[in-house]
Amino acid sequence: MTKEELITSLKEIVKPYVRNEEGFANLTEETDFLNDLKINSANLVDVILDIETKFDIIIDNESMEKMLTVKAAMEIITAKLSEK
Amino acid sequence: MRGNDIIDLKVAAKESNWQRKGFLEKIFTPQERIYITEALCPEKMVWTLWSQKESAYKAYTRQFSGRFFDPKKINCTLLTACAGTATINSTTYRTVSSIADKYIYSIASHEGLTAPPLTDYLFYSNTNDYTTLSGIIYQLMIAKFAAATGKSVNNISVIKNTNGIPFLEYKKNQQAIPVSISHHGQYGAFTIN
Repeated sequence: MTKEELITSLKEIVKPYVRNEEGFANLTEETDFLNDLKINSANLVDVILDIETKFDIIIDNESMEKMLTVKAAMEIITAKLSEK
Repeated sequence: MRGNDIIDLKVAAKESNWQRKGFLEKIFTPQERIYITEALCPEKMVWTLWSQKESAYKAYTRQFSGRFFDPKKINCTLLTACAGTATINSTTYRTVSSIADKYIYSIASHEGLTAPPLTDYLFYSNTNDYTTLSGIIYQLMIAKFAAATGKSVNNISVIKNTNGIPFLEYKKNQQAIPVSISHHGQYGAFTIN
């Protein structure tokens, strides 16, 4: 999966939880889920569960801890996919 | 240090499906899940514990820098239906929640803290627009701080540090006071240390 494809999938996943559309329109690897997209923290759990379903991976708590930005999410997904 | 968290229950019911597979297991410890199972109203227990975790997290990140997302790392113990402790990496906070029909409001204070907050304020607004409500909170916070300290509102501003933590600043270069802000749905709240 290319970086672009990964970002596109992530955008689809976070879309329903975004409360700042401007942040979403300008989404990059550096985008912060909470500060830039204003996703509420309870919905960050949904984002993580949706990622697990979509990519068929398990995100352990140690990885989840870092899951605050698009970049971190991409790194974690890539690492988990390579373990499969 | 202190942290606060407000939950608009109507909005929470719309935004989150806590009964979703895997949701509770991701964020609550086995003991916390027992509290939820045994509660008369499991839904309110979910949000009571969640808001206690959130408020403790805010207090913790004001005390120690750095951010993380791992709600399970914040260990909640209830001593009564609405008060208890939350521990993160061996730092303990006292937690108190106001559990109402339409909202749950929690405050976590470091266990060593004896003085009450300078101001703690919770309100219901006629708007649920995120940006508008943020603006109202800033204005109210400045006004309440000015009233509590006798300072002029013109010299008070809200600033944020690099971690996004808000502070009240009285004139430039004076020591800034950490605050904790929360809003959800039509509720806004802040606590000034």
